[in-house]
Amino acid sequence: MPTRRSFLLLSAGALTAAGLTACSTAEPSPGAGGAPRDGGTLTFATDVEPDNFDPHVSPADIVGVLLRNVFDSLVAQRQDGGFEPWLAREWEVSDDGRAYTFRLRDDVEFTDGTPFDAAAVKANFDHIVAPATKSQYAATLIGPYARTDVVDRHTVTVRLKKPYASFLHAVSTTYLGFHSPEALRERPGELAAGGGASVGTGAFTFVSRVKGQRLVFARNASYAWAPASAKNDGPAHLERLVVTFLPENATRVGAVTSGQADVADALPANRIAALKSQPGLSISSHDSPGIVYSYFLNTERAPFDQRDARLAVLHAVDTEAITKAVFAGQYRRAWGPLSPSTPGYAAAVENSWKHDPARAGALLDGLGWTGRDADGYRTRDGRRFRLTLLYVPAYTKSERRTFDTAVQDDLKKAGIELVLKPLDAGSYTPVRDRGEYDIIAFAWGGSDPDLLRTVFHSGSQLADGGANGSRLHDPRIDGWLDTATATTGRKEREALYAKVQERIVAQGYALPAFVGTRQLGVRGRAHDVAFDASAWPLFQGAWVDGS
Amino acid sequence: MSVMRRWAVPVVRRLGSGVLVLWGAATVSFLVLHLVPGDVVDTVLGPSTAATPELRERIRADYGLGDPLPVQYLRQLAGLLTGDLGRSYQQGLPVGDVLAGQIGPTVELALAATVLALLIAFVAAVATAGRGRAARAVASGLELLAVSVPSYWLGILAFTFLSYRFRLLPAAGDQGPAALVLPALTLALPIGGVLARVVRQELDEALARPFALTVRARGATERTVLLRHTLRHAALPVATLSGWVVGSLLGGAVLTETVFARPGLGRVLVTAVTSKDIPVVTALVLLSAAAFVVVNLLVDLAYLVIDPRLRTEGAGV
Repeated sequence: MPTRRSFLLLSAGALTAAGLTACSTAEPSPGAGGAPRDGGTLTFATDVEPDNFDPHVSPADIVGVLLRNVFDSLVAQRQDGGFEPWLAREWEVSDDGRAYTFRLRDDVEFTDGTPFDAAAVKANFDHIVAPATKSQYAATLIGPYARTDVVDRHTVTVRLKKPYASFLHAVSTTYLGFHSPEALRERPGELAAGGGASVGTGAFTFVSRVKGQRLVFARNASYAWAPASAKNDGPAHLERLVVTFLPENATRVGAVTSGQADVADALPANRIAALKSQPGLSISSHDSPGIVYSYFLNTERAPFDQRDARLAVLHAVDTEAITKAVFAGQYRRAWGPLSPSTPGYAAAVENSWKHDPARAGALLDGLGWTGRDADGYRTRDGRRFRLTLLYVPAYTKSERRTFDTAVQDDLKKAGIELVLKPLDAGSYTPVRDRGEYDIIAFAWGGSDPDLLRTVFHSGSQLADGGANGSRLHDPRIDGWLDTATATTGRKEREALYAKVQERIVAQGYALPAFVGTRQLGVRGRAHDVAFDASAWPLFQGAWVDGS
Repeated sequence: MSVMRRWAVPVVRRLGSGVLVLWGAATVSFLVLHLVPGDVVDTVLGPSTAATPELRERIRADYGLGDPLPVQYLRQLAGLLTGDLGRSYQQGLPVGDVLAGQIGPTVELALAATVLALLIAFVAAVATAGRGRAARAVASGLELLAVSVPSYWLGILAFTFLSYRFRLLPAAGDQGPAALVLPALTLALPIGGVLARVVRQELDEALARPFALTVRARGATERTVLLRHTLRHAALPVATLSGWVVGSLLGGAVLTETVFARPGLGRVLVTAVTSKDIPVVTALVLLSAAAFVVVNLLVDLAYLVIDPRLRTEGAGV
């Protein structure tokens, strides 16, 4: 089942993040203007250093972003969610939706001189699904992959075991990018280390990695196969791209305000207002697509097996006020399970429900929670209305914990006790997989509406490698999702996903909280940093002023 | 011969117990990491990865996590004996490769901080020992401040002003000696504060002892008394505290390296502990234990150099 790193509960990435990095250009960054200048170095400061640099293995968002500079994809996802040719000139899907034939460009070379051809595609896809690769994400992203047939030197047909409409999206991500077959063959043990062993067809070569410190990428002078929507159709303007890892927010903010970095990633929301007034610095904000940070209500057991209990929680929590307070007015509250920037987002969910403590109270009264105990909590048959939220502190950002605490306060006003229960990562997973909780909270980045299947389909239970935090078994949602994945028409698919979103809200399966936003600080000397469909920065078209 | 014996016997004895310490460290870290609740595979994957049961089994099998604990323990010991530290669960690379390149920056930072701390301690103590109450109160207050302020906060303060405001020094990274100044100072201040108090107290006591009177009676200046005679006394407790200093350096490195975004063992340790990367944690525990063993050995030898009374025959270390 397509699953991925979820950022179940939290994590750095999901907040800001998005996952499936596809390529396409978006509006240019502020400061664009003038003719691009070749040469120079751009320094990009980010917070998380990946453990493993092989996109076929790692589930981390940051791997998708950084390695996008090195690895190209068969197709590129445009900002509007559609797809365009990249390493594949064109493609067609068989009528039964189970065979994807790609006609490849014949002028593409890996930076080690190996030509990019049908055999390279096959070698990479086979590498992803090989059990020895221990892929934590790409292998699920590639879906019901059966095999790749080399039709001729520059044509491949990928065969699937069943229809999988998200396949194009999958091949647009860095995670299904292409290592040089020579690197796969000669240096399989080194792919995780990054540096010189990561050889792709991308706009940059991966020159070196100093662990805990920095990555250096150099321009690939023969690059001539950027996707059509890219502003720059030739080699990168930058001579060098340097990535530094600054885990401390204060350090990263300081680095970009002082000019020690040209672009800083994941700026903390509470600093944005002050940073906006800094001369020489502009802030660029992009909503991250995917499943928003949500509180998933365990529908398998009491009290959330009852719709009224779930709706009471939705009405009791003032997500708008909490979002404003916790993120200093920089983030928006969420109305439905998907972020508005996700393809297939259903705007109909907006204003379809609201903060209404009186309604919450009436629903709880109706369920018989009419008593009150000494602490002011509602009781029924002498038992307090108590909920448990599981979380892993080491993987939970402080802003999210603040958010959780504010939710706890709002629920208390409605007479509901929310216990925030910390567990370490090893203890959390089995407890979660057995469903011994009322609520878990997480966000899950990605620019494909099929994420709804990963999070709400009955076949995507947590123990099976899915992320169905609500432990939902809703035949109607399952039906729509199954039909959608077998449907290739974009309109028809989106209509089905819209039904899913509306039902999730109407049934109160989850309480959508806030829309994660990626905030980057960009110095005046850096221009044309673009953003892909996942709101991640792209550097192929970027350039810097001379010093 | 007797000179040889005097130096060789304690060294050999120390090395022997050092091996025992390392074995103990390996055993304790193995037990702690395996006996804390939770499945290793779950921790390795983290709560953010939704892994299929097949992937879990594959990881379990590849790292031998399905074997009984005694088997895993013996396999790990056998590996360590042959110098094989295993492969990192998270990075899939040999542990040696993970640590290579990280040891240098941490050692550099630790040495720079030690030198700075000693400098701070002795300068502060010598400048104020035997002085009036006011000078001592000021010095003592400053030391207390240095000891009490969290190095984490001190670091942020230091680069906010020195790096971002006045742009005197680079804040982050490992780009030559200039980038070492702030982190080393941040790490050194609390240690220097403690050592300064110890040294001054020892100096004051020594200055009041009869031998100091004798030296003065020979016509030596206060300066000579201090620098040539009493300082030696003060050096002994500093040597004794060196175990604590090593501990503070290792612990402080974790925070300092994170705040200043320096590469090093501290940062590796944080990541490895969070994600239960057992082979990496074990290697770091062993490395720290080895550092303690070596430092303690050096300290014992330093006693002989500092204090001539210990050099007489029969006075064991």
